[in-house]
Amino acid sequence: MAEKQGPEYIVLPTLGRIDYNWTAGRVWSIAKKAMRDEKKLITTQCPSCKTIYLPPQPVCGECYVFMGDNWIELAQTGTLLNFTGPTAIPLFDPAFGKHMVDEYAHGSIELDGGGVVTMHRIGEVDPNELKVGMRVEAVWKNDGRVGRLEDLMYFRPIRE
Amino acid sequence: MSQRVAIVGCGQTYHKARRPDVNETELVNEAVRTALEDAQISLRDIDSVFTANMDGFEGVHLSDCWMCDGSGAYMKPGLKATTGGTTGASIFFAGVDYVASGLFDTELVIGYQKHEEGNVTAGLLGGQEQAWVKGMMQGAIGIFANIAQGYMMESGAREEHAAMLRLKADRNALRNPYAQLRLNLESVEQVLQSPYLIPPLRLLDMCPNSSGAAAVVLASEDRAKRISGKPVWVADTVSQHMGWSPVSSSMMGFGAPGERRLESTHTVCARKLYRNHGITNPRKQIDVFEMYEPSIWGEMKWYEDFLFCEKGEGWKLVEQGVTEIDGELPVNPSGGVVSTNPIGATALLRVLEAALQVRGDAGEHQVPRDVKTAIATGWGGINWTTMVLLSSTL
Repeated sequence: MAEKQGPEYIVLPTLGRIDYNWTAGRVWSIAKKAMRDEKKLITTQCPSCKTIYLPPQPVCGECYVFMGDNWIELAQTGTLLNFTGPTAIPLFDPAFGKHMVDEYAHGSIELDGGGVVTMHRIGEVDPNELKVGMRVEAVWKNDGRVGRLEDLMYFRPIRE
Repeated sequence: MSQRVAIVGCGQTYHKARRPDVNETELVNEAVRTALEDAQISLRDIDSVFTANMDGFEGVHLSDCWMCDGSGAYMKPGLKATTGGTTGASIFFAGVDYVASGLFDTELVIGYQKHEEGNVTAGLLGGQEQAWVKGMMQGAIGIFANIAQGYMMESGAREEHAAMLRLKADRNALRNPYAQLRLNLESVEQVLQSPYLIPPLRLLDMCPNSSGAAAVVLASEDRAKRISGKPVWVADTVSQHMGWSPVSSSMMGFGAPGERRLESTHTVCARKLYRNHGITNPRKQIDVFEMYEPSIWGEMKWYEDFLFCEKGEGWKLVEQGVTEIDGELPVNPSGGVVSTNPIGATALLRVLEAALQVRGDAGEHQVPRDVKTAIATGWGGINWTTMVLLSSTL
């Protein structure tokens, strides 16, 4: 007996390459140049409530005070607040246009003196070793820094 | 003096992973026809049409414009909303306010998404400030992996608790013919075999991407009483957001402690809503809670944020069965977002499902009690909370 054919529905794949150019703006350009040229994390602090923002912002959300000229330098060391394992199955990453596994663990780090880096790579460590409270330090790319957060390749445990 | 507003009709599609048999217009049209039929009115009676969708996910912007014939919006005033996970709630709020203004009497509010046509993660990451955020932001999956890890470390919750909660969602979804994922999950052990996406977050801990639509008919008091024998009154709407304020991201740390721990937008909204309505014991005074939970870990932690219990005790409510369909405070008798998630509709579905409960019309997933008060929440962006309080009486 012949199989009953369902209706045919047409599905049209559309592939488009779209190039975007996002402007970092005044405040982020200052911070990015420090990353690119000096391997430093600098950011803005609200002069009113003293909150340290990361990334820097021109205006404090809570106080609505302009802070685009209030810069502080952040420490290169800190404490691990939280962490997740490496991606276990390939997940789509639009930055690269494909499914990828990220073999690094990620974690949030409270830098000494203030400022929190969220969900950054943690390297030079077995993910099973990770513990909240671990002391970590920033490891920067020596060449090829462009002013993106990836210039700071990862944080690694400080091993005495 | 603002008009009182009621929900007088509800309609949704059977949510699926794929709907190759319909385009977006046809999908929305199904939900709209169902809602109009439920309300026993025709499109002629509708003053305005409010549409909601996350355009970026399917890469079709102004989708409300392309479908105005099928949505019922042709030659009618209205609005469009695109606000992340809260999309369906935001458009509901807009609709409610239009009726409350006294300028409109009967409205259609629509939310929809056709996920299979695009890519959510791509859409999510493209929606952030690309000039700062690095490639490995990992979207909602990364956020909830962090929440899961942070919550376990702080509260003593274990992966077994997430598994138990996932089983509740599936039990409820099996009673809801509109839900997408109806998996017949059998045991905690089975759920714990679900593969990790980003440890400790498993595939089953996260919501799916569904293709589906929902529509709700709103009416002013006089019109509502004429249209419906069981109007569901919108007693209040509350929202707060901090969006992707870098302060909120770092200080909330997605579960991490920090020097200055901000209260979540959930808690800020809940305090306001509860205070304005004399709710001092939500577990006793609310009959049903449809929570927007993109991950089962979100649900568990947010029992605390919505003030059902003390900090660190959410997992205890899971052990005690407090939020089961026949529990003290049923949460997500519909199966929730982990079972069904057409993003543009999802927050509206929480309101719709809560409304069905108030009406006593939720069929097999009706909670076994007299429902006088129900709450529906939305969450999105990051850190954008909406709460709706529904009541069976004025």
